[in-house]
Amino acid sequence: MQEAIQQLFTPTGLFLIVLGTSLGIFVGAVPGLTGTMLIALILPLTYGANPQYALTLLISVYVGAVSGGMITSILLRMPGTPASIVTTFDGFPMAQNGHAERALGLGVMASFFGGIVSWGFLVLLARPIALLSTKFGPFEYFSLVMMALVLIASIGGKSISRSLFSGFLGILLSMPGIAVATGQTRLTFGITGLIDGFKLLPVLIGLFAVNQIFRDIMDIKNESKMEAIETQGVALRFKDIADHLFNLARSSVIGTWIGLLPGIGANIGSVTAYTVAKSSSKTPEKFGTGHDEGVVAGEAANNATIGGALIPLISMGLPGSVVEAVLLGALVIHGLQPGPRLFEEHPVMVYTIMGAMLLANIAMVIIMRFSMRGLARISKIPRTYLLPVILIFCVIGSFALSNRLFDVWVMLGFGALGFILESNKIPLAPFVIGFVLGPIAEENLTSGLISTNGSWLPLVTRPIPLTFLLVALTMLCLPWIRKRFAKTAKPTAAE
Amino acid sequence: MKFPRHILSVLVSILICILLFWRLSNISGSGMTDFPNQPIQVVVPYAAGGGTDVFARTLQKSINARENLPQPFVIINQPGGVGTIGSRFVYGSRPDGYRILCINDVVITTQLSGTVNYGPEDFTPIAQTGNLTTLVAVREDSPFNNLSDLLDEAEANPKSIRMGADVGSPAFFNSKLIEASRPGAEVNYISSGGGQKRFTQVLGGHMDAAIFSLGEYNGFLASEGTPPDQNIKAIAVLDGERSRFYPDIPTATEQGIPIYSGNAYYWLAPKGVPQPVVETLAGMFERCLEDPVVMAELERQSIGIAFRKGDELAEFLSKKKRDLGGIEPEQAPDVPNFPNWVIAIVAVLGLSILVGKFRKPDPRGDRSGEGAIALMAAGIMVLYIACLQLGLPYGVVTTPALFFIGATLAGWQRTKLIPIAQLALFFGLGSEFVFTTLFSVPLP
Repeated sequence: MQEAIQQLFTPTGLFLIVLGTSLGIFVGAVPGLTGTMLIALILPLTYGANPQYALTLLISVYVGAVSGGMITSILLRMPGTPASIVTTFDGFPMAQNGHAERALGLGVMASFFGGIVSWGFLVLLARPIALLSTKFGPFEYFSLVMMALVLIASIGGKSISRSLFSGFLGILLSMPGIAVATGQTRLTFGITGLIDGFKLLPVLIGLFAVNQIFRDIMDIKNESKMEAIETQGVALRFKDIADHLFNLARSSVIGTWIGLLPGIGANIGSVTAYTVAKSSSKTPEKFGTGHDEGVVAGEAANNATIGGALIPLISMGLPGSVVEAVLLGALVIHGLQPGPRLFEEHPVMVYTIMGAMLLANIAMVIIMRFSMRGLARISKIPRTYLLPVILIFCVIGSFALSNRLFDVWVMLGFGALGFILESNKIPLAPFVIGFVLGPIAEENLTSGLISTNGSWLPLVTRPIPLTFLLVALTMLCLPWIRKRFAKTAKPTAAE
Repeated sequence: MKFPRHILSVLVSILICILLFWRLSNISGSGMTDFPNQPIQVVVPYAAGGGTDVFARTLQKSINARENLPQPFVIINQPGGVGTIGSRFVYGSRPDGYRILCINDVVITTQLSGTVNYGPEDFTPIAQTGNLTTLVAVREDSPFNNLSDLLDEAEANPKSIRMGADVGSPAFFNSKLIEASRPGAEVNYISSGGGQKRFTQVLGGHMDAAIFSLGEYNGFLASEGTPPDQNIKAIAVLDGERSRFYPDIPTATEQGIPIYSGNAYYWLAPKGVPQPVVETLAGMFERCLEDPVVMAELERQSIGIAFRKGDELAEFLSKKKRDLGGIEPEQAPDVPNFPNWVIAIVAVLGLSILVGKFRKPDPRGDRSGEGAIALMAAGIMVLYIACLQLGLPYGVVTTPALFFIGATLAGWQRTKLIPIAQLALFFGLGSEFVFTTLFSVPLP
């Protein structure tokens, strides 16, 4: 452990942490560019470097990128990374009400808190938690994902049928391509580019960034209104931690747990924490109007997924998301075969990863704290200059994913789709949940059915799936039950 | 902002001049005629950090360091579609040797399983530069100690053995070979996507056996003294000879099932590349395998050294295809048709929303904005991406696209045109510089 600490505290180590975190914050903040992309681009550059330094840099980028996404979410209503989608719900209204710095401050504080809580889990519980993952077979995963999928009904706007439509549309559009469980190609209509389906990144860039850019363009004549956003108020306050302690702790734990589960990742972690915060809040009606609790929940959870996702990565060699898969590759490139023995054979690397995550979180707070005032000015850059540049970033980001223009067309297409959906008051968050979780649910259910030769019984005979499904059912019915109660008081509301 | 405006403007102009100089000097630099006179793109059809990617980068590094080529080898990752997105890209490329593919047996199996309609014979084979041993493994406390134990069970209780191998992958085809060696045996194949996932599924008892690459197996095998239900054991090596790492584990061939190669890495070019170019490239790869740095790297990645080229390689590939192709294709498993369910639900919900909308129309007015400007900008974007699709250089197209979008947004006000032009030049060329030079991303 000492060796790892010494290495991290050399000038080079500290420089790499600051560099990585700053770069991460930058790509995180630019809609279209993501941490995944930067990490994949940097990986080959670290090829000849000392593996500890390489991992330090990559982990710092990861932490920075997940945190940086909040900046444009709050200031421009364009999530810089998919993980900060929910931050737009309350962060942007706060900025419009003149509290941009306050929203950023809350976000930074929550991110730091979430990062540290999940870091604690990573350090204390890495091995025991990771062993839990072997208990999960296809049916267990399916029921777990169902628990998150029912969020579709509760996250969106006022109309449940619109939320459900959006969610199922998301599931449907995730289906073209090769079905993992059966190996069959489907719904590609003979378009060879579609053989891998629509990829998550161009879809999200389209739905949120491109859609918002064109909304801003339609509004460009009213630019004076945008520039009028004034910033005021104190940024980072310790009192906030005390005020939101319960919300912070809950969201961080949710984020850590969701990060732990392979394939789900930061996007869903923040959505789940936001929904839970909303449904357990005393004032759920304030969510979506610039409420502190909303920003805190989402940002704490998305940073917490990092520590969660690193747990199976370093203790079992299991990547939880695309970023982790690249980090796994980084370990392999540097001659470290991840797996149960990594702990015993390369403890220095394990401690380096843990240490880098802690230091990067601290660096993130410091960097954000001192650049906050400057950052808040982003919203004052005239849209005429800002929007074309962001559009090109979106093109580059979509292209660099697989180095093909097909994904750029997909991005534009989903930009149009997002525009149409939002113009018809159909919320986009359920779409994302369906798009991300639908394939995981289907893949596991299909694998499960194949392994039982078609029997659905394990869903109700095994304890873990049964519990999860009952919880899912309760969560699904909760809004209705609440509405029943509300109706007895005031029998007017329809649907 | 902080700077007075005109100073900023002058600084930006200077930077633009530097970038323009860089861009123009690049054009004149490629007048040579010998191969290679432009960068050689290696398409890796998997994500950065994956097994094939790490392998390709090991050789790329050696070639760039030793060969003294006037132009570098660059790696392009095109993940997706079980390697078919990348393979199709190279398949349809110009056969000039400047775009080649680094791939494994997937190039055979995706054709056999009908994912794509081309196979190894539709490429010009350059070289095979590595051999991947794969192993069949079970949980350490499993009653199955060899392949015949496994097949006995599969024969006595058809479909009871759950084997982890992604449908259509080389591992899947190899396990089909094992299954076919015993008439009457039926194995249930479970796809999980990824060796790590298979590992946890085997440990958790959700799979009875699974196929791992040697590298994966090395990583997953826990140390001595781990409880048997938290560890795995290999029961067969799918290779011509026993593994140097695990000399105690018999090969499938020794167990009566002739499988000579688990998987291998190939370098392929589009059909019709001139023979001298193929020879030049094959020579480079052959010299790689003599480089001690590469040898040590491959040893660490648990990749066997093997080299084939020319007719020998073509024959090897077609023999492999015959071996694997002799198996009955897998029936599509009998599972509910989920896409149809979802389409039905979406249709019902969509209709109900439409009906609801019809009954009480929305009293909204936020469409009153500048729809025309947004449409214009969208049109320019479509035109821009279409130009990139046609293969026009990135910087040359991006700069005017930026300018026209910016100018449209500004309503063609004279005072704003110069700053917009500066921005367009600065950003268009600057992003090209950053991505091509610093990150070696091949921009559109």
